[in-house]
Amino acid sequence: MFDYIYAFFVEHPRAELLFCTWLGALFGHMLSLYDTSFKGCRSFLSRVVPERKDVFYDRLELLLLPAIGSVLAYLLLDPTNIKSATFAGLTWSGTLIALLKRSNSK
Amino acid sequence: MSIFFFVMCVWVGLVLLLFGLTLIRGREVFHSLFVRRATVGLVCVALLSLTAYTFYNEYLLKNEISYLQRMNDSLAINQNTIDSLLTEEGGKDILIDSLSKKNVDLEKLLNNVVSYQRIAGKGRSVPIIEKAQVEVEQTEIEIKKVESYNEILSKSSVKDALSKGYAFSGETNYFTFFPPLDTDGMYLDFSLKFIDDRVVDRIAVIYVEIVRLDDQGHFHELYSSFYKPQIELNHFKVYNYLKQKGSRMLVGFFWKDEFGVINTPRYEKTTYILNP
Repeated sequence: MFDYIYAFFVEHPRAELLFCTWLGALFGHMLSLYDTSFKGCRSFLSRVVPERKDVFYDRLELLLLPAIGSVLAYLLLDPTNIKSATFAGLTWSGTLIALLKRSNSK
Repeated sequence: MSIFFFVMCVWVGLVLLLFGLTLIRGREVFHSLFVRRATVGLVCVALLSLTAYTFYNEYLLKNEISYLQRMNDSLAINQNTIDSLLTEEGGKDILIDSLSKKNVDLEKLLNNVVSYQRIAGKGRSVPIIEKAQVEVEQTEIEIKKVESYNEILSKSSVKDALSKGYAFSGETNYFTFFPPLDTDGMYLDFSLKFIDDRVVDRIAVIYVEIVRLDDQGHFHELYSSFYKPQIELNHFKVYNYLKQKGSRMLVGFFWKDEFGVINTPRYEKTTYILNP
């Protein structure tokens, strides 16, 4: 399985960079969860998809925020190696989280 | 796969495991102070290991590029060496082996460089890699060119067949002779093509002889060689003895049913004179 994944990334370097960008965005999101008072985009999600359990919003947020951050970072920053891809994802994820924090505090 | 790659995979794997746990249980996983601190630690170590892995690949890439540059220069085979080997018995095989080995070594290096570039990025090494890729392609072309030349046969195995000489009359019409285009160089390149390729099965050897006619009207042999016939184009390279006044080149073949069978086999030949 591991060899198959490795071979896939060798043949598709752009997919590898996108994965690393997503990984960076995920790292950023995981770091944001250190602060238990951080609500993220829960208020927005509860308006879009109302009357669901808290764990549903947690899962949706965990899937959406790193995905959006990684796509934005990959398209706008166009990273060329895995290090710059990972830090591009981390940077954008951090930016999104900072924006959300600002809107939550309002 | 290096130890850096393995370590990086372990830490990234642990973060992905935490991601999986958060996906299942939600944020309540982070209510524990231990989990929050462990997350920060894991993410930081994962980032560090990823950075270390990239720096390691950049270091390997730099080394491989300088090795590729040195190898490109040292493996260059001089055109004079190629020409000289093509006129010697067994030289064609030596040349093909050398050129093939050169390509195998260069391609192996290029593969390494490409795999390091995947991680470390392309950087400023692109011109060197492009030069090496062009070198590989040109060597492939050179190998095909060398393979097109006829194989030189060992004189000791065939010379006895001509110990009593040979017979000829006029010029043959069994093949079309393509004379050398460049007659000023150190070597002459010429070829012949049989009108009907079916005669190749009946031909024992192709014989090329360069002789010089002296003032007394005697012929002196300057060069002679036996070649294995082939279908399609028969390609030859000889040292340019034709610059000498009075010299001429005889290009032709002997039939299988006469060569080594009768005392004076018939030489089906054509004559090429450069400097009468």
